Amino acid sequence: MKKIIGFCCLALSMVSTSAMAVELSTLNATTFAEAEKVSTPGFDKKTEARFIQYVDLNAAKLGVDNLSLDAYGWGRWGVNTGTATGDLSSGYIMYRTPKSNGYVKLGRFYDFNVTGVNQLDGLGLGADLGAGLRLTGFAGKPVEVSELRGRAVYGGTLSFKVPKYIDLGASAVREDGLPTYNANGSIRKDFQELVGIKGWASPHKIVELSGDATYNTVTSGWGEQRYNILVRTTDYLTLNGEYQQYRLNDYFATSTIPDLFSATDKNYKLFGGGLNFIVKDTTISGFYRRYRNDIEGNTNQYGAQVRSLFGSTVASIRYMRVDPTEALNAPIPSYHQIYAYLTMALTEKLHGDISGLVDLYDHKVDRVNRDYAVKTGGSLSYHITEHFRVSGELSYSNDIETSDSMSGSLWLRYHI
Amino acid sequence: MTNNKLLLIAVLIAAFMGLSGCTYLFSGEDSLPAVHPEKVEGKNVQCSECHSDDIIPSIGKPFSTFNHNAPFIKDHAVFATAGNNGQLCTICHSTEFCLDCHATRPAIEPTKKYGDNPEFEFTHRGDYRTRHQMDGTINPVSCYKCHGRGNNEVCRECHR
Ligand code: HEC
Ligand code: HEC
Ligand code: HEC
Ligand code: HEC
Ligand code: HEC
Repeated sequence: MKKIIGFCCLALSMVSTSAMAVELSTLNATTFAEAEKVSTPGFDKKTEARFIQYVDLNAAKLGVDNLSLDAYGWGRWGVNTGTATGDLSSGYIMYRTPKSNGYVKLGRFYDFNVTGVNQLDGLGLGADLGAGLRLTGFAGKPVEVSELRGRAVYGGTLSFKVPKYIDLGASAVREDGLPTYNANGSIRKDFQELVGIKGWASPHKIVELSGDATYNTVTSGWGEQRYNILVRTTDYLTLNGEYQQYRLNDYFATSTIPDLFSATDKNYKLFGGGLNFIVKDTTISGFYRRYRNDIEGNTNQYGAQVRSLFGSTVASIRYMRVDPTEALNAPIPSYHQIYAYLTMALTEKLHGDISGLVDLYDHKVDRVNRDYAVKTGGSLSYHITEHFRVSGELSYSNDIETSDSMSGSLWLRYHI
Repeated sequence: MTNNKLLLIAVLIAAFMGLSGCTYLFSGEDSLPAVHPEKVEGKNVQCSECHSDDIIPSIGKPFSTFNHNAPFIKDHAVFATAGNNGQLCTICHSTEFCLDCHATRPAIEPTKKYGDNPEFEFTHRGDYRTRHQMDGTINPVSCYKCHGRGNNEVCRECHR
């Protein structure tokens, strides 16, 4: 907490000392209020309400060109519980070099370069070197999200590219003080360490191969491997194929909720393919996936979406089928899912939409005497000015465990 | 063993800092703009509608690679990370955008935050507290990516 305040003060002082030269490039402020009336058969009806305020700002030119401040956070107030919580998700100062895509950032930020998603208070660096090389790195204290958080996290990537043809990268990340687990749930080591490789290659203009793999150095195994092939016959028709493989002993060993995602010597695979086709104002996409889950059993999943533009109106319908072919433990429900929506400009300033989500189960779902679940809703947005918008939404649902539930939400969105 | 790897990371970072002293070792190419020069809106952005089939300078991949079609959205992790693509995303996307789905401590479910945008691309629709059992049973590794190492306070209510 002290740190957060520290960062805010630092940030604010940076802004105020150079106030003359600050240029606010973007500010997104969203106020959200929601009230829900949920009724679960067998329980009392309950009404819940909450307010959330989000602020995301980016100030460029903090006195010096290329020096910027970026901050994003939220605060929430639960009306029923009377509790207030909040989070400064990100808040850092960054200097970007005019050449070589270099940057240095200091503060709280997320790194998406190495395996996984890491949030830290610390330092981040990166730049393009000569000969197609690029180096990035970060080090700092992981941000505490629950009782389980490490003492220090650091990592980096080195990548190499041949423009148009190849982009290959290697990464490493280590978090001290966060355990790596054994399959029996005991702690194997008091740190986590992952090494990753990733790649993209385009041997011909129409073909792109990409993928990544992660090696857990503590458990000595490849936790994750993902490979994709994409064929872009034209800009309008793309076909893709995928294969993924996970060794749960290595992949789930770094979980912070080890009873839910527990290391076991079982494996998990999936393969599939899809297509994306654009004809004029209509996009058609379809996919098929086969999951091979050594713990729960195998499942086929397929679906398609058609999305069309008619002037300023968008209409879309998506169908999906989940079809388990075997269940090793509890039965896995087989079902059809349909999601459809329509968005339109009613007047220049007033926009509206309606949407519906329906699940149709082949058999009644476990514990619930229902063979379908449905949620429908609609919203209206009024653009008061170019930068300021108010919207409201109402929705109704008869979901798996709830029935006749209603919710209403209101947004004030300010954006420059 | 692991200490060696640790050392390797330290050396990489130190090497970087050393290198930054000698500017001639950098690529010297112009950096990407901080903000995309033209406002782009709407779903399924087709970069190749406005850009020719060129290679994006300092990224090394054609614009069409980043066309926001279904496979790109599904595999965006590869494009958010390989080489310096991460910086390409930030010319259009704010911090908030990625964190809407990836925050380790989100305020609320993303589909509620964007309840006024049915086009928002996210699986948690409907009463996901109960519906998630299906997706979670079929494809638990996809959940691990966001809930495995963070954002799992809400899961602890029912899972230990
Ligand atoms: C609409 C929700 C959504 C948004 C917005 C989003 N992502 Fe993702 N992201 C996902 C999903 C879902 C996955 C997991 C995909 C899978 O199953 O492989 C993912 C996976 C990832 C991963 C891989 C994580 C891992 O552990 O393997 C990275 C890295 C990532 N996204 C980066 C980004 C960045 C950077 C942005 C902003 C430019 C972004 N994402 C915006 C939904 C989103
Ligand atoms: C509505 C038209 C439009 C769309 C769609 C569009 N751009 Fe651009 N983009 C522009 C214009 C105009 C410029 C400035 C002129 C230029 O550099 O070509 C630009 C510039 C850029 C630059 C800077 C180029 C340089 O040399 O500095 C990058 C990088 C870029 N766009 C990437 C993308 C990517 C990636 C996408 C797809 C996700 C995309 N753009 C979609 C219009 C568009
Ligand atoms: C030229 C601007 C531009 C660039 C560059 C760009 N995007 Fe996007 N992206 C958009 C727009 C516009 C949307 C639609 C946003 C919306 O619907 O609110 C979008 C949507 C997305 C979505 C889907 C969210 C949804 O709900 O449909 C993901 C994921 C995403 N982008 C990831 C990335 C990643 C990763 C990169 C970098 C490799 C990137 N984008 C680069 C403009 C861009
Ligand atoms: C791209 C990141 C991402 C992925 C992948 C993801 N989730 Fe989530 N999930 C979130 C976010 C963000 C929230 C909102 C958490 C909150 O409000 O605290 C959430 C909330 C939830 C909730 C709580 C819903 C509620 O109403 O309280 C459940 C249950 C859940 N996720 C299950 C899953 C399951 C099962 C999977 C895999 C099939 C999964 N998630 C995959 C980001 C993700
Ligand atoms: C309201 C209680 C509740 C909450 C909160 C909850 N779950 Fe579940 N979850 C369940 C139930 C019940 C099942 C079905 C258990 C079974 O079949 O063994 C389940 C099943 C799962 C499964 C299928 C695999 C398994 O272990 O059974 C996954 C994965 C999962 N949940 C992930 C999550 C994640 C991630 C979150 C937090 C974002 C979450 N759950 C929050 C009740 C909950």
